[in-house]
Amino acid sequence: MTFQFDGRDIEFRPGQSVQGALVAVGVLSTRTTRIAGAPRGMFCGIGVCFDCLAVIDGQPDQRSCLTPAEDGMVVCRQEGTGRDDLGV
Amino acid sequence: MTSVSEISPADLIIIGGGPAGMAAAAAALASRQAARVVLIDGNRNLGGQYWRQPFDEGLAVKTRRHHHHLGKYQQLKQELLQGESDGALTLLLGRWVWTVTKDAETGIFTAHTTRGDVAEGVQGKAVVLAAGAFDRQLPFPGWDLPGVVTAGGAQALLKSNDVLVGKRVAVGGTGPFLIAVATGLAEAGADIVGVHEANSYLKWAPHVGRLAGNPSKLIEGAELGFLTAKHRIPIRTRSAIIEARGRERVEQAVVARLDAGGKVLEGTGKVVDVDAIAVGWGFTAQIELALALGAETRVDVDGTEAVAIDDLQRATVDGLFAAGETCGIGGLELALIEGEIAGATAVGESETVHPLTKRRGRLQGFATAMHHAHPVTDHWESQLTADTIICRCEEVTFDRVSQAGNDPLTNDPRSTKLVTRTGMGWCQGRMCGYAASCLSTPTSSRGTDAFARRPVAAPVSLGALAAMTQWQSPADNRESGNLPETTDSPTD
Amino acid sequence: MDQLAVSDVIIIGGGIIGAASAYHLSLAGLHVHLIERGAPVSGTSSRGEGNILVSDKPPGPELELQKFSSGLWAEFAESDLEFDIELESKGGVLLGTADGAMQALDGYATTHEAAGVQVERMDAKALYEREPNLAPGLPGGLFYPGDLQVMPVIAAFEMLRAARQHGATITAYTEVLGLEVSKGVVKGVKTTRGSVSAPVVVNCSGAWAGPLTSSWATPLPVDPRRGYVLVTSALPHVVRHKVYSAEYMDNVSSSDAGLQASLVVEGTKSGTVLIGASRERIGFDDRPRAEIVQRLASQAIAIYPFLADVRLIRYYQGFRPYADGHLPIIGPDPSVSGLFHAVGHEGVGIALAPGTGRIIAEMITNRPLSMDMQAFMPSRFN
Repeated sequence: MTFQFDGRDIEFRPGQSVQGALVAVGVLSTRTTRIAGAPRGMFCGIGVCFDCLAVIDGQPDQRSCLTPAEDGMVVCRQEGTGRDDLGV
Repeated sequence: MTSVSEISPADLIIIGGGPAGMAAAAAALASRQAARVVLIDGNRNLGGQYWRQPFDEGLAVKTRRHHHHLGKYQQLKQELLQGESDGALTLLLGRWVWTVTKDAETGIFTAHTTRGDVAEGVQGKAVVLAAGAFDRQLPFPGWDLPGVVTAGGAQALLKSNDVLVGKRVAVGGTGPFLIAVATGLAEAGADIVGVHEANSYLKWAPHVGRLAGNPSKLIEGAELGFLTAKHRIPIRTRSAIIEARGRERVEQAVVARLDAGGKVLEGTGKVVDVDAIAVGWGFTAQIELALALGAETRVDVDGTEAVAIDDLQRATVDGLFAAGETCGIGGLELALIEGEIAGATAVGESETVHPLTKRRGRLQGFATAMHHAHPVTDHWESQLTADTIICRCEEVTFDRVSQAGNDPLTNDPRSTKLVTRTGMGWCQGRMCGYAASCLSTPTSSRGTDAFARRPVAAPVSLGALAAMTQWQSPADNRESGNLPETTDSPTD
Repeated sequence: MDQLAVSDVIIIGGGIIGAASAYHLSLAGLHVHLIERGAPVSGTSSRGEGNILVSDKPPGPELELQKFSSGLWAEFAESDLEFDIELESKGGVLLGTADGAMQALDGYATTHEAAGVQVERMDAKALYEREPNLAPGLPGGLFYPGDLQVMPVIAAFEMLRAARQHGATITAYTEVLGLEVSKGVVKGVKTTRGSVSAPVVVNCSGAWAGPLTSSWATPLPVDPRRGYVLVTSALPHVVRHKVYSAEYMDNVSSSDAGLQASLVVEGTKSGTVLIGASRERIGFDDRPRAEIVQRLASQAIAIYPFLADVRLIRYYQGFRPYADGHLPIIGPDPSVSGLFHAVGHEGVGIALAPGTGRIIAEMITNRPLSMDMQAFMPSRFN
């Protein structure tokens, strides 16, 4: 079973979260912050810190620690708010 | 499974499916009261954090080795599933409660839940709040680097994913929990370069009696001691991780010795190669739903604000109960007992003194001793540099928080928050609240979680909220059809 | 509390009106002692959206005070401040939400132009050029270049800071229990930490003016009107102006006691979007009502569909001070000499603060008033 992260195939075990699968292969960062562009990823692991946000299947602001990994899922790094397409 | 719309109002709503919530549900089901119970939890599986489960049964088999007291978990889970198939219990999993309201006239509670794009209300005559806690954090330079995680997070990753956060891990902070985390990681194959305990275990000396009164704790302690020796885990007391270094992720930890007062001892800093750092300074109780209902709280010995309860786990709002970490950090056994008392009482089992009261008292005594032995050390902030991030979400640095904290006009947590944006991001002050309140309060009293009030306890999509109204067009706004009338008479 | 040398002026209340009054009185050279019962800026001033609008005020005395105050806001933002008060001249967009509304808006614009307010009529094309993220199908609206936005909490703190720099004393966590009056002349106030003397007292107690003045010689009819503001997670620049529906103005001017909810939306410098506005007459009841949050969300999405999958991360509520007759109460007390009032600003306290503070300073220092304040006088309640 695999999902994509920024174009790279990530193998995972059924039952893992997107975050778990990414950390298992050494990917510790799923987003950059909106002011400094600093990399962030897993911190609290239980859904209270919101540092693990990623764009999952087109939806920004998804907590990767709470999202079960699914075959064929498309996960992208969230840059800042992840919604620059809305900016006017 | 019964749908939400068929169960209004239930006799009891339990918010939280961890040990306390599960124990409450089991007790409610076991009572003679034939109560209809709803249990709501944001995770897709029962277990809370202590028994955090993978999403899949197959992986759950693999993660058993990372768990403790799973027999109890299985037993409770069986009772709950039985209750569910009997129709007495509805399990609403994967739903986050963003607020709880109480009708002023009928006294009925509504738990407002969100799940993805759907928002719903669940009604009940009583509520047991068992919302648990999360690791308390203190900022230090570099703590925002990927690879720096909470102690609880490192453990959660193992328990629910069978994944190690790193291969060479430094663990730091305070509390016996650090040893539990370190040994768990070591058993799973990580090399623990050190556990850096800010306090000295000598602080337990005055409380040795508590240990004697809690034999299970002695056994646990012995087990941890055995594992620590087995894996040759260096335990350094009066020691702290004072910096995380690395470029895109953590590569080194700087550890240093502390004096008896908690100050970093000059010249004792050492750089250690790591690929992960796990930190924890005790726990912060999740109390925002109780605050939303107007319940009173108290500041516990460890500085955490917790829901105030009486001997039957009743909070100061009629019909509201609390159990587990939510009403004071105290560990698994205490949570199970409090849950049992709360669940039974909430459905009408009336006892003036519950049989478990004495045991609860002993466990509370142990927890108090533990808190006294592992306080957040003074001078923790002396390791902060001007550009150390305090609020991770809004990227607010220490010098900005100091600016507000040093000004007599703004040196209280609320003003500091509003002026610097600390605590106003996604996590609404969960990660930075304790530290920010320490930094923004001029007196020596250690910060309580002044950021504890969160009117929106879990982010909820505006679309999901809107879907709950039937009101559509802006031109309709005069019609108050769906809305409760106000009580004022329009005579002005 | 140290027994101070007699101050020149005591100000009751550390919200934005008290802060602005302290600022202008201190600039005028008087020694001000501001007394706030909680933390500074912890009342209504920290619960709004930072509106500084000309567009929501039909021609009349309040509009005139607003024009004066807006100018002072611009001046204040240019002065030497420690934190950025985020004053933005973004302008306001008043939406016509149904075809029939355009005619009413046209009439409104005409009266505004006659009163010297700049306003631009927008057809659909012009509207969508200004606000591309709006829901399709809107017929047009009005654009008010003179509408501004500010971060009210920071601004209030900056006024207090500047007042302090000019010699003001600011005492927090101290409640004023009553006035000290002798033979119809004010002598000072009684507080929870002792008495403070001054020949002049300015009541800036905001939404609490009703209870505070209830036993005074001239009680003031000020009642709380609760409002909610929803806050989204941070977004890029998605809403360029202050945007609101015409119903917003209807509700502002109404004395209906029931719940009113109308749309006000704006972006902030940090990227959050604020959504209002609701009005309820429920006393000081601050218990949450989910229906209000739901309704405000619903209104906002009808106008900005992209908000449907944006998350609400917090909301806050506050009590606007509604004064009978819908005009703020600014001026000398009709019964007690030396007592002044500056209360009852309903939803326009932030907007009118500098103007109010300056006028109060002019009144107290016996200088000519910058404008005719007859309509605001407390004597209208005698």
